[in-house]
Amino acid sequence: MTNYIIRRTAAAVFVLLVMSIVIFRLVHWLPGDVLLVKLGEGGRVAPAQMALARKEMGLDRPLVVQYTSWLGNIVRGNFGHSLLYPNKTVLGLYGDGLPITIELAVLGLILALLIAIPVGVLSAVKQDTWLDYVTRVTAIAGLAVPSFWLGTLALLYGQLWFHWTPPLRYISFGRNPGSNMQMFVLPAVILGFGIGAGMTRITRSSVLEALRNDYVRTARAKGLRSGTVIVRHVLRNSLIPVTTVLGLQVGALLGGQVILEQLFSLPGIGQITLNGVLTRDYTVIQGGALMIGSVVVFMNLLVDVSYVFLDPRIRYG
Amino acid sequence: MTIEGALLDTEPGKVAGELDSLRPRRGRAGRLLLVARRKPLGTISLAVIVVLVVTAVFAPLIAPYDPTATHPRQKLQSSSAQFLLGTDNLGRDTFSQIVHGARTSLWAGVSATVFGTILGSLIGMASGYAGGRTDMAIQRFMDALQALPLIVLLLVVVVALGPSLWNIVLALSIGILPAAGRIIRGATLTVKTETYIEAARVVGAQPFRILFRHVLPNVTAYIIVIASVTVGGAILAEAGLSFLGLGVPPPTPSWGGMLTNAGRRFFEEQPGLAIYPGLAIFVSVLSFNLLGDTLRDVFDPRLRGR
Repeated sequence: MTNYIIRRTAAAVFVLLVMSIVIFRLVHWLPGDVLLVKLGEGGRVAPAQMALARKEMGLDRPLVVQYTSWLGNIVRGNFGHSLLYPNKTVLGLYGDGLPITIELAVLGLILALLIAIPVGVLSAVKQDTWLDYVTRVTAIAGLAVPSFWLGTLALLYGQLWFHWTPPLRYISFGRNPGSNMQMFVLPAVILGFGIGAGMTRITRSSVLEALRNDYVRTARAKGLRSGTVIVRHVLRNSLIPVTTVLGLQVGALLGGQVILEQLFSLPGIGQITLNGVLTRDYTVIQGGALMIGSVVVFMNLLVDVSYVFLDPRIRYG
Repeated sequence: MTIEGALLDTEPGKVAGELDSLRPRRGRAGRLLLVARRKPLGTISLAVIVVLVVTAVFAPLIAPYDPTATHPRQKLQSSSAQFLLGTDNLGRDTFSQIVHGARTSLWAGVSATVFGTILGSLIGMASGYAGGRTDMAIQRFMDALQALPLIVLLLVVVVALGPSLWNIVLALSIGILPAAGRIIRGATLTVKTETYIEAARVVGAQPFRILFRHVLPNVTAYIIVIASVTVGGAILAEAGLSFLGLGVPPPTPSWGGMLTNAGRRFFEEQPGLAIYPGLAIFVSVLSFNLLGDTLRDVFDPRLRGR
């Protein structure tokens, strides 16, 4: 078991290394550089001055040298400064966005779980009844509906019917919980609906799978009440796929919801990354992509390792 | 939902049972007809997709107006006999734009899926068959690619190469590739242990021949299933990019672009501008997902004969 965990961890470290190379290479593939964005059109600044500025920023060194010094700094926790806003560190920039992204992710996940688990279980237990059909159709529709469309319509009808628009500038929960919640309620519901739809389907099919096991028949034969069988025997055994998907979702969610954040003017991690790419702020994109990617790798590792604890067959197998 | 998620989510036992009753020899057409009757949702969605494809192919014949033609005197009209779904802020016919937008969405979604799945499957097959260090290296590279935030990948490719349809297809394909590669690698590992592979190797078949003559036919069902559950997501991703203003550049009509350009700015005057393009995305993604589900149930070898 320890062996398995060590091997998985080593693989994850290797993946991180490969990812850092991919990110570094990818970002340097972007045309032009931050100087052009910063100074406006290239023609207006003397080429000599441009070269000097590039040198100062270290943009003239060979890529391998740039990569090594970048990685060296990152290992020491220094992600560098934004090229566009030199007084901001990349870490600080993302630090500002993190609470917003986390708040959205937590609200969305709570809503998703509140919907998915009970509805998924009910739908499986009542397989092929009208309740099951309604659930399945809603879930499959939830996966197909574009979040930006739902968001746009919510804003439209909020305005048209209730003359209500969410605040346009971000307000932290600490400063004004009411306004903060007003900002988050729509994106959180839309996010929760989307994730919930996927999770409902997975809960349903894994409960169906668990229901077919012999131990369920045994439990029923013993005379256990139906509710007890479901909660004690079926639900417990069917939660592994749900946990897997949940873990992977958390990793993905911490990367920010670019579209929802954009639509509801939430300056979270997604927006920071989007702005970084649009302004070709190399250090921000690199640092951001690496941080977001690392979270995903870490969550994958966590999910893999958690199997050991959730499923005894892996532990002793 | 991810491709793996979509594959996890099956209807255990039931479908296999249903399909077992299809076993009696009926010939291909008869069996197809039976599948159609047993799977009404899949059949309806297939019909919708056929309509969509026809719309995309014959867009210029179906659309009453040129989608880029402006009618300056008839801006922001609501539905009428003249403009079926009204007009936008420049007086362009919304219906014609949606008809032409089908080209962009379908083309992007389908070709990205085809490229991503095929490339991913080839890499997965080679990786799984090679085994050992090569397999390890390829898999870690795939892991890295998969952990990379998709939006960063999409944005970087689109910004680096410019927002053209092909570059979006390229970016989406890279996003699809790792998941397809991983699943096909897994399938290849199973196929590899079969006796017929050993037999082929014994008679001296080269790896290339084994891969294409013996492994490929046995993982094709998986490839079809992966592709069919991927198209919807790819269409959604293209629309999302267009919504962020990084899709196919205007004036080429795209559903995501319509929503963000006219829909978000003028929905108070003409709500249809926000409703119809989104509805078009929703209906097509839904149809592809439903068809994908059906194909998965019918094709997935794990479920067959269980």
